[in-house]
Amino acid sequence: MNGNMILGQYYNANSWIHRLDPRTKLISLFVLMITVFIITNIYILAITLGLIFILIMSSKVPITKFLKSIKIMAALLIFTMLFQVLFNTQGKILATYSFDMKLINIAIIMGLLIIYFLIGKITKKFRMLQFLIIAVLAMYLQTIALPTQSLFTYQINIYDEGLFTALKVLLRIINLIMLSSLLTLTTKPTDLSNGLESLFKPLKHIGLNTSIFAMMISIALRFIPTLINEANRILKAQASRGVDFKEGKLDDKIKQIVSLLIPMFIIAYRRAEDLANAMEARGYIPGAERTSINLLKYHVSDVLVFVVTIIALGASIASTILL
Amino acid sequence: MGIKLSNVSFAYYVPKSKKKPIRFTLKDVSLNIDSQDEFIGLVGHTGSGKSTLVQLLNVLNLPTSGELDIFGNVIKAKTKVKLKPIRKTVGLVFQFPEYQIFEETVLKDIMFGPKNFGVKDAEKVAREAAEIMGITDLLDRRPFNLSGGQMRKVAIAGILASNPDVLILDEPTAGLDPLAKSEFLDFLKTVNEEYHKSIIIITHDMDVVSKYLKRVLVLKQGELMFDGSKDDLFRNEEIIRDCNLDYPEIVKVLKKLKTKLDVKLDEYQYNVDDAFKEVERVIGTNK
Repeated sequence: MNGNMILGQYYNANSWIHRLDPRTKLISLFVLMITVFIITNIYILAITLGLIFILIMSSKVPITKFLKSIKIMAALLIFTMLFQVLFNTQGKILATYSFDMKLINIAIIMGLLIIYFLIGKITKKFRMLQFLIIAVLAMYLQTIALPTQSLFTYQINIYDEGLFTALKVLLRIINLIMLSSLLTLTTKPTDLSNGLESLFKPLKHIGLNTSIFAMMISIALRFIPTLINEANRILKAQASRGVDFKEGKLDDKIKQIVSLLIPMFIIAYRRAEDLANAMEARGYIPGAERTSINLLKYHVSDVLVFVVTIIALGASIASTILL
Repeated sequence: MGIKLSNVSFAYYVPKSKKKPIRFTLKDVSLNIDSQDEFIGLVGHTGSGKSTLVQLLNVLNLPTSGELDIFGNVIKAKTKVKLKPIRKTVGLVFQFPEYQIFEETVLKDIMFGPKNFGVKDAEKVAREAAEIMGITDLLDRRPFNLSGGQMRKVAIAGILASNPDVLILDEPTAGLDPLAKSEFLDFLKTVNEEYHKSIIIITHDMDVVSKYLKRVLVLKQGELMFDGSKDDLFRNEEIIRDCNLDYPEIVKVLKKLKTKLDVKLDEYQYNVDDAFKEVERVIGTNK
């Protein structure tokens, strides 16, 4: 509705990665992901990240797009790191922190949380940062001597293995996110589904027709924005009939959601029927062999990418065996 | 009282960075609509912002800048007013309203609006609205088996049942057969004349404008180009040409007669009887 609804995250540019055959990109992504999983050495993981950055540079996609996909996963990354650092008890102890939970600490934490929610009423910016600051502050206040009686004390030990593994996990996940973003940012959704269709064609021998599935997926993707527009229209129409999705009791709300869902179902069915008729009128027969206007073709660059990918896989296996 | 727009602009999407230009759907629209007796036509090319404007009047969109006054409720870009009472006073019938129907029976669907607005005797007002629309025989039917025109009548009855002070209809006659169309417009005319309700309709049909409406608003690319009586509009050739509007059939015929026969004739007549009288007058003087 706002005109900023983008499906998939394809970024239009003209680089050698954009021009690669989608099948090449899919297979390479798969192989390279295995490669990243095989590598256990932290330095080689860092080098891999560097190589991926070179790939990103050559793809002509702005780096901010990649950082955005990391931002989405930021919470997951932080929590996996925290868990590794806190609960991994192998190797040498690097540092020990002791905390003392007191009654006043609990009061302070409550106060901080209330402040956090109050700030949320005013501004919605930097919520993650605010939360982290509050968390750090809450922990810090437990280390200094405050009045009132102590409830319990506890210690946190940081081990070097823990730090190491945390870093390794972090690098690995960032590698994976970067690789898969490279695929989705440089390949159109339709190309992706065409590539998948072509890759899974051999499944026909066991009675699975991939072209139907590919068609279903691409139609489903195509209709998401259309249906969102329809939903917005119905929402407005019901709002002008006095439906208020924000206020009201629970049973009212259920009724109001029904007033959106039923028309949506009807519209979806009607559209499906129209589309089916239109497709049949233009000679679409489910399961029949179809030709495509954009034929997928392997070029020299595709072969080169395959070769490099295999070398990368070999190198990673060699590195794990040798190091 | 009534509705007052002062310098209202509206954009569906405001970019976050201030450098990027905002694409306004409505630009600087100012107009007054009385709470009674208005019968206004909103015309303009596709994409000129007609639907956006009426959605603004129903506070489904809030103005990006400017001020909107609906029966004393002042609405600006970031005001927090209860919207429900405003929506009760200004009823909006959407283009293709048949998509909003969802209840099991026609009666229940007509009752849906009044119930939401807290009308006490929802069933009674629903039955009355159905009688006005002439669909009392459909009340117990399932709405999904109805024809398109019947569905539209049900949807309009649903809005009428909430008894709004101002009734807005977005292309109410699209997809109706000629008889249903003129019946419906006649009905609107009675509502306007007998119950003194203000009515605004979006239309592309200049014959509808000439036959029924009192006042016309012309939008072009989000700007209000004209606001006045239909007679002033049709006599203003510049506006008609610039905004891709057309003349009503009667005016076209009289214009042709005037140029072909080279007679002094006032071609701006808006119904058959007036046109006939005018032609008769001209013939009388030429004898």
